[in-house]
Amino acid sequence: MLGIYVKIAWRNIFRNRRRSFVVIGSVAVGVAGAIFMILFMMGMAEQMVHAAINSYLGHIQIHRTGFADNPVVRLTMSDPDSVIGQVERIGGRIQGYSPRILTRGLAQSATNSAGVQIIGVEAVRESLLTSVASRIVEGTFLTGETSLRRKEVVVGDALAQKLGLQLGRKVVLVAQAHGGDMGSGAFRVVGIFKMPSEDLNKALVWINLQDAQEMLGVGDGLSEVMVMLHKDDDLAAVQKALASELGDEYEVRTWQDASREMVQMVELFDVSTLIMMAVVFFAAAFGIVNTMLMSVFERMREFGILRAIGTRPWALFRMVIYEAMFIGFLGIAGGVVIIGILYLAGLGKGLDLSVFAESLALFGSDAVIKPYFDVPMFIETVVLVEVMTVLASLWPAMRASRLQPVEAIRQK
Amino acid sequence: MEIVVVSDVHKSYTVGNVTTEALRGVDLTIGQGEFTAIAGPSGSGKTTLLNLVGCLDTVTSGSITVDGQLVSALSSSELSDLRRNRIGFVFQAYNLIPVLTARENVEFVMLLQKVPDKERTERAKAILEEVGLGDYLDRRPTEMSGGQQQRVAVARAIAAEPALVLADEPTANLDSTTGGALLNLMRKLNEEKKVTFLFSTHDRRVMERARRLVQLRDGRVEDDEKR
Repeated sequence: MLGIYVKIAWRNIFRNRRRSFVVIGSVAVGVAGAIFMILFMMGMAEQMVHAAINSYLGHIQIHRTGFADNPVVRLTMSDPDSVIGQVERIGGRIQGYSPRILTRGLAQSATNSAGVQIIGVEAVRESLLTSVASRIVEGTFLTGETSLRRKEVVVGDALAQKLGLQLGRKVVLVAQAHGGDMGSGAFRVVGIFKMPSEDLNKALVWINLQDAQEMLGVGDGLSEVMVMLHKDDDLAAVQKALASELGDEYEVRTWQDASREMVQMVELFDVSTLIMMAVVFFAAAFGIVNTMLMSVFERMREFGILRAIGTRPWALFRMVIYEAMFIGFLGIAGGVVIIGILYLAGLGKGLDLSVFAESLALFGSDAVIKPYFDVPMFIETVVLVEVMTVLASLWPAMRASRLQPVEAIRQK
Repeated sequence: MEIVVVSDVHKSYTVGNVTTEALRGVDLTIGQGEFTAIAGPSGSGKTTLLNLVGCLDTVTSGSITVDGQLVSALSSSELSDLRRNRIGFVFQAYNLIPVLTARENVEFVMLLQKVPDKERTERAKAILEEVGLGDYLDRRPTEMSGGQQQRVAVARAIAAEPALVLADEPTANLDSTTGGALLNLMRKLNEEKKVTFLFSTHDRRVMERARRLVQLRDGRVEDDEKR
């Protein structure tokens, strides 16, 4: 019984091929557009987050309690080995860790000065974990060489420009040291980096850990142990484990705690993706309502005859709904095919937005956006389109089922 | 046995402020196995009467009984059931489901009646052969001539084994030869299978073939001639 209505509905789609093609095409383009947006908006958000995590933030940062809000030398970890011991005990889920000195300070060149964030690191560990070493555009990253005469510093291109620095030039770093004195040191630029984020290019200055410790007079003390994980999904579990092991003396923060702006940015991306999808879907929905209404009005007489020979209203209602469902399915399939073709045609390698590189740098994103395939979101989209197609055909279906046979038959 | 009893039926339509009386007190009884034509000029009420007998419309006053059931006492879905099981319809034109083949069109009513698959297919095939369309089982309406389509419509109407087949000017859109052939077919089914036919026409040649001719004029029965 079901079969005949499904059969009629299916064949009806091929009755007015051009009209069906247009409406199925519009659903397909809508679906392709939505998937496209999801792929690249999610890709962009994903890239922004990872750019931040990889540039210097790391997944997890461990500090003395209070340091995050008030990064002063007084709150240096006095017994960093015990902290590192706990981190090492976490084992396989951790990709690595980087012991650091973090302090705000001033960078002075012969011509200018600027406020900077000084990061003292073990050169090899840092270059294995963060992306800074791969972002060097001139010179090299820190080598770890700490002979007093040639202390190494790596600066961002924006800072170099501001201070008029070139490779080999001297720069003096000043920061508050242990006990309230000012610590300072003369450094030579060994490398210039360029990260996707303009803010970071202006503010970050990398020096060797030992030089930093000496400058601040903190001995073997550390400001931070940065932890990098293999998988984002382990974040909460590792954070919880470390927090419970390290107790109240230490604060274990995730990148989300450290960068509220980034979290808000990702949320903003999610919301704007939803809004754009809603607009696309509504446009497609109106197309479907319109098409189904036209096709119902055109067939009034036919529906009248179906009613006359004993078809119940509910059956006509279902027939129109089935038809819309088929349109939805075909549209979705078309959308997936469109995306598939684009993907194979090179979209899979990423979307090159070099033209907008400067604006993207404000968001901390690279110019080439890699698609991020989120399976649940894809399934949600497909289900949503199908549901919307059915909703859009409810009214036409109601019109078809409510008509009076005698009036419908009178129409020519 | 009486299949249709129409007693003092009035039917009026109101469009805006204008009320038109289509039927003004019609009395008519159709017995089983009859082959009756309702004739009359345009506007005489032929189609209105057929729609009322076919349970597609409701009377303004008076009563109609079809196959022993008082039509005015039935709900909308009971009317659907009555139409499906007891009445076959043939309309002027464009009366088939365009996306279904001839066989599927004939099977459709049997599907609604829940006739088992095998019996349905066999019956549809037999009936289409009976109306001379054995070679057109899998053709869609658009691939058939007007006369062939009307024969499929007749086949569909009788497939449900109804008590009564109503045909509203079935030959109106056909040329005289094809129309004559359709009428022969209906007559044959009436004589051999005892199917009761009630059809409207304003074609003199069709009227001549009827075994009973009811003349309507201005919504009243003017003449009722049994031959």
